[in-house]
Amino acid sequence: MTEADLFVRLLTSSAPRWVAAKWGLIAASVILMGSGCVAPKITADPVYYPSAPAVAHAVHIKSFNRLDELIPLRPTLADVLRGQSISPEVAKPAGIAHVAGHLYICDTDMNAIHDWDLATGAARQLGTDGDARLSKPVAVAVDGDGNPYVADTGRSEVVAFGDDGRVRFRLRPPERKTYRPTALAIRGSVLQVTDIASHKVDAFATEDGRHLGSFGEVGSALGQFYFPMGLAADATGRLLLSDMMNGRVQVFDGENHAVLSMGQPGDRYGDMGKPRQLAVGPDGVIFVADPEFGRVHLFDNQGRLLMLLGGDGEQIGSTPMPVGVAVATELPESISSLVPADFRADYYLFVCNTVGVRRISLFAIGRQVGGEARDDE
Amino acid sequence: MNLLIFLIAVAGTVASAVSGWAMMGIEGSRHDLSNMAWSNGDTCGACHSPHNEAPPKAAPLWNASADLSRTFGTAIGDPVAPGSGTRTCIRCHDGTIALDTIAGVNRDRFVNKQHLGLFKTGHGRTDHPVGMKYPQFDKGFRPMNSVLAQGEVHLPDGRVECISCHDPHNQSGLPGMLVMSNYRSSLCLTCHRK
Amino acid sequence: MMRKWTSIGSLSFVVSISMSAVLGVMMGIAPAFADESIVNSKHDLSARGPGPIRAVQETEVCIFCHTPHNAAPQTPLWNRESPRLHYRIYESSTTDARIDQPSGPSKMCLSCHDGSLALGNVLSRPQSHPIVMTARTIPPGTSDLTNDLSDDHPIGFRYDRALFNRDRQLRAPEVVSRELPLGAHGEMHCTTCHDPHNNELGSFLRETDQMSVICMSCHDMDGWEHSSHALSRKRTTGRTVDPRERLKYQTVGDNGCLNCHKIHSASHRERLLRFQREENNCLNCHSGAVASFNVAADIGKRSGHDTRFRTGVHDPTERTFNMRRHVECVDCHNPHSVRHNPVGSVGGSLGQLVRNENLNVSGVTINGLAIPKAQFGYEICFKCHGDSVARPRLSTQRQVNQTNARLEFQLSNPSFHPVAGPRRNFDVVSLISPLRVGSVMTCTDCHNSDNSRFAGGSGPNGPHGSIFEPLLVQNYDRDDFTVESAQAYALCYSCHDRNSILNNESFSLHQFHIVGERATCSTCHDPHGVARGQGTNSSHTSLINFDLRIVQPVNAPEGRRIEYRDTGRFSGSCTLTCHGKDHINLPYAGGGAAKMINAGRGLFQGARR
Repeated sequence: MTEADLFVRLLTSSAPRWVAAKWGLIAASVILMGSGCVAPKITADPVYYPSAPAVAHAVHIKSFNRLDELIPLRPTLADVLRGQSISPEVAKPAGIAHVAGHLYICDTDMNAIHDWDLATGAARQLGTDGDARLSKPVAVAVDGDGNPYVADTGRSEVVAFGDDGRVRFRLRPPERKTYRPTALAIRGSVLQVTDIASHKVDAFATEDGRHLGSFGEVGSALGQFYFPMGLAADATGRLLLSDMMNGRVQVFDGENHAVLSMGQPGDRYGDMGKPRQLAVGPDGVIFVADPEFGRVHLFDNQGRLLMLLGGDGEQIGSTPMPVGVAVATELPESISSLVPADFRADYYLFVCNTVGVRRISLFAIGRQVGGEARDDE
Repeated sequence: MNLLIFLIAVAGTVASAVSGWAMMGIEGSRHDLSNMAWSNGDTCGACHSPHNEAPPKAAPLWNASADLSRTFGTAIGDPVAPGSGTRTCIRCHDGTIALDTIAGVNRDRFVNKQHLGLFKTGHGRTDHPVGMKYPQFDKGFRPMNSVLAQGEVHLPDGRVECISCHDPHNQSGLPGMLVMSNYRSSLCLTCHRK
Repeated sequence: MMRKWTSIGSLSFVVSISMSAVLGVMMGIAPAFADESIVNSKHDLSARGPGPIRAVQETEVCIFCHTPHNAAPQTPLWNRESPRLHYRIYESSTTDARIDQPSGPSKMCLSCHDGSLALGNVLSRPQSHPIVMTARTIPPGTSDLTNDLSDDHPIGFRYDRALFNRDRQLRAPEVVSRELPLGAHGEMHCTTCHDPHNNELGSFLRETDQMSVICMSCHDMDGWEHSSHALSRKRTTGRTVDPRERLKYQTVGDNGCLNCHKIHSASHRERLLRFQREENNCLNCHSGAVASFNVAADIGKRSGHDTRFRTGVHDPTERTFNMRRHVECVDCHNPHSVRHNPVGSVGGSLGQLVRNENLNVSGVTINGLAIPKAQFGYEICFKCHGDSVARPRLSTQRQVNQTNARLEFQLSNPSFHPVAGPRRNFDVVSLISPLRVGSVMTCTDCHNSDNSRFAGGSGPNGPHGSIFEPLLVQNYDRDDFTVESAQAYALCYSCHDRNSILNNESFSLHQFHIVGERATCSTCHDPHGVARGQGTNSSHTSLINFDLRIVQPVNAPEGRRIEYRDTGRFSGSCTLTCHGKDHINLPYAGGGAAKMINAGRGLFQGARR
């Protein structure tokens, strides 16, 4: 009989073998077509730090350039019709901050600040238009009201945005001939900014931008610094400063007196190369990005080295030229579900690199459960 | 009379060279980051971390099994590792501290990639690719041996890095800290056969 | 008096020489003096560059286009802005390419060569302080293309398989791109033909244009490799239309395409011809200066195919049926395919097949079909002298009027000169040997230059022009009361024996009419033929078609009539009035040859039995 006859019989017959064949064919088609819709999962072993056999305190989650590599984005019909890529992309990140569910990234190639809402996927760029155009934004900090402050070395000023994206005011210390702001931190209601032209830390009021004072001088003694490239405030009101040319991180108290120094120039564990931006975790762990080592140093709040994170090269989890770090205490379910099952994540760390295939890396900081306890914690 | 000719020749040579003399070396150049208050005149520490002979006494608290003899980064005395001829530079030359090079699309090409990375897309500007192997079998470039024989352009591990064309120690005193003069684009034409 | 070289003297000599050498090497002059380098070429715009356009102080060479850091996103490390002009692009009726605005590498060349951007404006210098040059923008001249690219070789189209399928006078794209780089999708760019760094071949060409090698990389014109224009060793100096139009090479063959085409800033935009008037591209050489024969002299004669009549009307894609009246050299000649004739071939009937000078020219067949390559010479003539609405008007009012030559020469016509095919008419007894019944002739046997070699002169063969109207190779008097002589009807007598005619071998009253009545051949005979639909086998044989200026209808009993009736071999009757004499069914018969033939026939028939 002809194929047409067979087909008709398949569709209409009620004989058991034909019914079975029909439903089998339907099931197979559904499975085949459905499998095309499922994206293949890249299965690779998660990278732990430190690596086995030590108990891991950090694990690499993923590295990304685009928002849709971090969280799934649902394209709107307008985006599909426009045919455009719906995901914003970072070109060359120089500084990073995470506040209230928003990830802020300074992009020195596009000369703008990316503001990504990780819960909803909404994204915008600050400093792209007209008067607000940024020249070379290298660091960003956000205060409690959601106002971003951007250190722009190209314009030699700090630009204070409102949370709606308009410029509130521009900050520059009075009577300073050259000004190159490189790092910011919010300590209470005060914005602290480092300056590598005069090697000082300035304080401005966050509500109106008044210059409140400055401290610091060039040198290598405690309390002195040379090329301060990172600034962070911890929960107790201390200010941490990354002293790049002295290869160390110094801690200043509320009166701006240096109370602690960690690290020294060198090439071993416990030394630092050229420390850049830093961040403090909720448990007091200090994260310092070091492009000379190609890694992030982790110190405890007494200045003892905990471990190194990241690595050179292109392998998964590498941080080839880390310059910025940001701590996130909470992340949406779509990201936190990516943490391996044998790891308890207490909080998260974003690291941004100026080079590399995927330039922002996300790590979970916590503890690997199910392993033997072999350390102090 | 002949002595006179000899002296004139010598003087002429010296005079032509001396015009660049004052600017040679790191001191006084843009790479002179020495600051009396900071380093007591030491110019090297700005780029080169010292090498610690002694390993650290204690291991990292979270990584008790770490190998304490391990060294990181580029210290003085380290052999030049692949890529370090570029990484050392872009630690500062990423726009935040110093001139922004390796901007645009070639920024990720330094990490041991084979091809030349000349791409059409990208925001902003692009830069001469670095980190790739010297294209010695491409007809558009002079043979690697002749480049190396000329002795000025470096190709560490057979790759093009920042230090291929730039001498961070400014020994030539040339603008842009070039390894050789680019008069008549002769630096470009050392490698490019145009 | 000899100076003695002292030891110090020789030492100082050696030292100073070596120091100078060291200095020279230190200055880095050494590697780049080869001809193929951009250094010291026209594109060397540095202060040490050789040309009139150069920087005043800048000594770097590459900087005008390239910079290693902070270059534009365009490859390769481009140091210039992109021109924002909208360009007028090349247009032609014969191009099969889909031409668009220039892009990519072409715009990079145009950033200097369109004259819009200042030469010293590079991205690596601030806008307020460009490189100071001797000329701000490129000065007017052949390398200033301006934004009008319609007079330049087209760029900005895809040279792909589809184009190759549309135009078979191109080479396959795979063959092209082996030597000349095309864009990512096969686009043609300036850089396909030019290498901006390498001026070894002149004009920064990638391949030489001597013998048009570079043109031949893409263009595969029909018949070119054997054509006389490609092979000729004639020297191109001494041209007449414009000797200032400098050609690069000394001979026609070496110049190749450049003899007629100008790649950039062509005067005649469509098809990039060197001269604005189409015929000037040919007459520049074919006026006695370069080519062997002087065609220009013929074209200017009293009667001819005067190509100067119209300019800009001819289009190779024209449908000749419905075109505006014009004539150009290329209507009959394909300059890419013309070949020399074998040495010494001059005389005799020129035959029916298309000659070497008319290869690959379109035509219209005897059946009216337009064909791209004519096989027979007359097919070329039929383009304009056949069905075309532009065909010439009547010169002579005849009994049957026909301007369509194609219809006049149909093989089924009552009578016709055997152009399209032989005529089996045994009664044409006047043919001069070797012509005989069954011979064919061609248009140019009658319509030719009076000075042609065919006619015994020294000029070019072909219907270019003649002192005899209408473009006749020999004299042919057509007025009434012409005194008969060999010269008067030289055209007819070149094939029809004068003695045979005057001895009444065919028409018993030839001598009477021609000599006695001083009637011209044209009075009764139509030179081409009488179309089938207009004449019958009884009324218009023997090319009878009376000239109504001389012959009029007669008042016959049945009405006014003018008629010739063929009543058999060498016999017929006429009804007309001429020279005041009324002929009413006036018969004739016999004729000198008739008896001979009849006698011979009887013999023949007898032998058969």
